[in-house]
Amino acid sequence: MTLSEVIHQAPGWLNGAQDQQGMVISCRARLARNLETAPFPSRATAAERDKVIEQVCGAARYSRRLQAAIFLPIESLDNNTRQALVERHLISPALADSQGQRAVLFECDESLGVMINEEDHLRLQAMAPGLQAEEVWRQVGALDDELGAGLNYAHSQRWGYLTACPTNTGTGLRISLLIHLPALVLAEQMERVLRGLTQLSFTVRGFYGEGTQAVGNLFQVSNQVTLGLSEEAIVEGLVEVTGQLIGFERDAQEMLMTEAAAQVEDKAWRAFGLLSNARVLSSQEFMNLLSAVRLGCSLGLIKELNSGFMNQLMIVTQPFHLQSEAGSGELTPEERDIRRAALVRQRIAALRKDGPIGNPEGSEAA
Amino acid sequence: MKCEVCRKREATVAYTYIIDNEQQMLQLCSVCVAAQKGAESVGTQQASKIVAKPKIEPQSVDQKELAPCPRCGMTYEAFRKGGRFGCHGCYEAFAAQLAWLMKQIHGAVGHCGKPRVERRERVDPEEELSRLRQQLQNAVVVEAYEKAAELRDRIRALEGLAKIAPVAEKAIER
Repeated sequence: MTLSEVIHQAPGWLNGAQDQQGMVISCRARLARNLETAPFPSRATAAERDKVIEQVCGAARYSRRLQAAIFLPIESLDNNTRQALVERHLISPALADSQGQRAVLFECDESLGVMINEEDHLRLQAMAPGLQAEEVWRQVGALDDELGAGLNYAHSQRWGYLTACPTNTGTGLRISLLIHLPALVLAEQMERVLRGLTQLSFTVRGFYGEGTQAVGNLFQVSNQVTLGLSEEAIVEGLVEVTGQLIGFERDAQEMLMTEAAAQVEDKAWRAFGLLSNARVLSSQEFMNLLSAVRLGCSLGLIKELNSGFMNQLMIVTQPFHLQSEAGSGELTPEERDIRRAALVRQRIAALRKDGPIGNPEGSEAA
Repeated sequence: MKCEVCRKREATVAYTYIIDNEQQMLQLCSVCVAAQKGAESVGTQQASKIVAKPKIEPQSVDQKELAPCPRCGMTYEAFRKGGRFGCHGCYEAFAAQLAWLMKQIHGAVGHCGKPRVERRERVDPEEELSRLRQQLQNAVVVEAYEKAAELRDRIRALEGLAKIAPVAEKAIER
């Protein structure tokens, strides 16, 4: 599979399965690992970094899970490609923007990957749609077993897996969920919720935007503590907290419908109308409209769209994906906004042509 | 107003994050927001912030007495500034401070998760395949069909669903 094919496919982890009525979009498990054979990437020489890449690729050759993996040395990619990979969550912004030899290995379906020489020598990751925290932990743990069997991991009895940043020491496990909480935001409950989550040792990040705090009402919830808990306990903790969050959001949605059903429905359908017809869409506006439509879908008010379709739309309307679609010639922000609107219009029109409910895997534009 | 991190570019984003159980907001420019996004979690900020506060650090260990890491040369001072270790040897070099540091960050004093994945002798897939095929033949001969089926599955997995010897397969299907 070519890189271009990857950028144009619909990754499985976005297909909307297990999404708890549209609330949990996807989840991800990440493991930080280092080798004993070199200093951590920031202090390793070029030769040492190269050696690490070589050793990891050597171990990957024996890995069943990375059988059909694509290997990309980041230095040889142009910025457009790097940023497109960031947009697909295949690499982190840090890997894209840092210096020195670094690479990524990922399975063709994008559910499994390894970053090499980011902050740590290895950053393994597994992604899945919806709330499947145990599953992504299982997947990334299995990949860890396969790779580790061919490498000398840096590990101590006392501190577990040794990482560059002490906030990752121990299990090196970060599990995160992408969750949509529009009613809690509307009800101005988010501050309280955030405080509660922090006290329970969870990190919450919003997607940034111009002047707003959480674009599209999307939040990434992840564990903060990696030491002193078993991996299973970390997973359990996150699943439990997510259950509570979902409960709060459902309550807030119910309240909204009790007090302002007509307004909520109006907001959702207006958003749908704009998405279907607008000629210019900034990414900020697109995300806000999408959020209103998502809420409409969660509440059963809009049946035309499903989660998989909306998730996929979220990815392909990002700046570097639009750029890659356009081919050569750098797009101006205005051109991007026009293309974004056109792409969204096209896809919604195609969906309507194929029938009111798209398939669970998400629809492709005609 | 100017970005609060770089103080050079115009701030365009109100970036909200949580640190020390409080919600904080920074006015940032788009470049610094992208850099913040790069930090895996707010936790990394916490590490530098905690480590940089000399007041709460125990006085019993004088930082100047901590020798630099023999493997990579990093000093404890440099670690405090950057919030990152230089190599796995630093964990030993700065052992005196680690218990306190990890307690601050994780509220824990030791690892109780997955033990180290041990390095195994890697077997050449071709060798492994012919070994398994031999075992399969033997199993069929002695009519250990369950074992034979298990071996067949492992062979298939290794070959990616390639066909195995038709005789052996027929024998198993019986």
